[in-house]
Amino acid sequence: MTASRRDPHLGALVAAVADGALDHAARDRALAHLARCEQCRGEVDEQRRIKALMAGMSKPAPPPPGLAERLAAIPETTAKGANTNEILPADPCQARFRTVGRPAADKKERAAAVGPRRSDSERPLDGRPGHRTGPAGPGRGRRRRIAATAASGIAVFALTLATVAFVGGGEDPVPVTPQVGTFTVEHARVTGGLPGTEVDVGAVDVENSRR
Amino acid sequence: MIGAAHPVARAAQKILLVVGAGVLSAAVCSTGVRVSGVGEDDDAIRAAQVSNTPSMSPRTLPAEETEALRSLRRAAEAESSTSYSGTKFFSSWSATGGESALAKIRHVPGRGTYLELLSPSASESGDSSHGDPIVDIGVDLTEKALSILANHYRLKLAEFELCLGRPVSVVEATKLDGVHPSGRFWIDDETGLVLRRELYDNTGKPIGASAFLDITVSDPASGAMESPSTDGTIPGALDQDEVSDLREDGWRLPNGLPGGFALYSARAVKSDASGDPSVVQLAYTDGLFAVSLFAQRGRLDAAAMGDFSKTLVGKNTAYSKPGLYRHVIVDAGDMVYTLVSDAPDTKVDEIISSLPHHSADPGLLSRVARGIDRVATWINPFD
Repeated sequence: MTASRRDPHLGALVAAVADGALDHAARDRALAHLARCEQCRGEVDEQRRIKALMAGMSKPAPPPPGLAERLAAIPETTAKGANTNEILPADPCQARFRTVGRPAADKKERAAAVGPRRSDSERPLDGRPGHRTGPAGPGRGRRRRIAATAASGIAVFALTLATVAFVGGGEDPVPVTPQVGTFTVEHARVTGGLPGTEVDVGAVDVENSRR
Repeated sequence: MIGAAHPVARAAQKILLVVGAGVLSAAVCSTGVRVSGVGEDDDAIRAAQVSNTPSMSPRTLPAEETEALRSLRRAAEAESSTSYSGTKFFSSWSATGGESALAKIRHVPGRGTYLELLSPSASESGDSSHGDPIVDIGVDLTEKALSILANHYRLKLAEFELCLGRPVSVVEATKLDGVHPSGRFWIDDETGLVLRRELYDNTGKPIGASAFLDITVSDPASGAMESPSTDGTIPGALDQDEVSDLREDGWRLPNGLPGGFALYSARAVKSDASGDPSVVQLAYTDGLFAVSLFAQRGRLDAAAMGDFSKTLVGKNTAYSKPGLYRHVIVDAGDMVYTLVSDAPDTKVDEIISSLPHHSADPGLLSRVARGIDRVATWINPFD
């Protein structure tokens, strides 16, 4: 069945039909036409497939399992006063580090879990801070970044040095063989006017060397 | 957003800072290298300059010395205006041995000195060697050389005697602080030519002598007429600015040498295709002895040294050979010096020890310094 002249094809309205964007009356007339017109039905179906395809492309992939837990384990240094949840680590030494992603613990419960603060008498006798174990905190992360920056700085310095040294090198001296006979003559020519020297000596020297 | 730069931008800023600091440090290091590396040579050269620069204020000569100087001046003028021919012997003595030669000489001012070397076997067989004429181009240096001589040596008109049956005046030159004469000249009273010449070391031991066995003097006027070729200029002469430019290009050209030797002539003996000098001759004198230093950039091809004997003098490897002139080739790292001189052994050894040495391998820091210089020339549009 095809549409008659009095019932024209949907044309530009196909997309609106597929989107459900028509008002009631228009939608009824369109659906009536679709019931009779195979061509327009096909166009609307095609439009719907494209729309579904596009919708599928824009849909984000589901996160891999365990991602949330791994993210929660990453330490974070936050600005003072930020609304950040804290958890109690297994090691009491980590009590002062904040971690994101776990429900907040009640301060009293936390204090009970941590126990009393380490007193001065409990610190090492040499005055150094106690050895930290367990997951890294914000201080260690900062030190790592500083170390990484320093290492990259040294690497860049070495690279720059090597480049400049390469640019500055590469001129091997050419081998030289002095022409002693010629030099003797030139010496005699230039110094022949001096009281202690004479041009003849140069000539004799050269003749001797030729023999 | 203020205060929240993009991480990539922050990283770029850090890298830029680190690179800048690196280049700055390298520049500081290289500056230090240049000061301590090349500076050593500069110090050596400067020290040589200080000790060698002839006194700028000429010594006031007593009447006797003035008369002796006048005789030497006349001898220098006669050489450039008188034609002569004759038989002459040459002898030289050094620690490594002696050398003597007999030759027939024909001298035409401005055209050159023609030489026919004689030996007993050559005389018997009639064979002889004919060298190319050697033209003296030092005629305009006489006055300068004589003023240096007068500033460094005490002159004395010793005595009048006969030489080859001709009356001569004998002039003695003794170092101002010396005891023994360093040179004696027998000057023909009639022509002014030097008929005999003897040189001595600081102990009075003879180190060189030359004398005519017979001589025929031509008409000075006819000799002068045969003098078309010499105009008194030295081919390839380098002025002070050109020598300074060469030094800036890395040539190490001493301004003076130990023992009172002052630089009085510099010239390019050879040039490369681009017109830059490839062999530079520096002539030094203390007024009596002369030293020529031929400088070439590069490393010495030791395999071509043949009959030269090798010694180590200071940091420099030297190859020497005795002769009427003493020849010493010095491998100074990235420069090769060839020294030609009639000076005593002690003076020559002192000069060789003073020559600057640079390793052919400049080392990392020097390469960095040179690299920074090169990069700077690439960046600087005015260089």
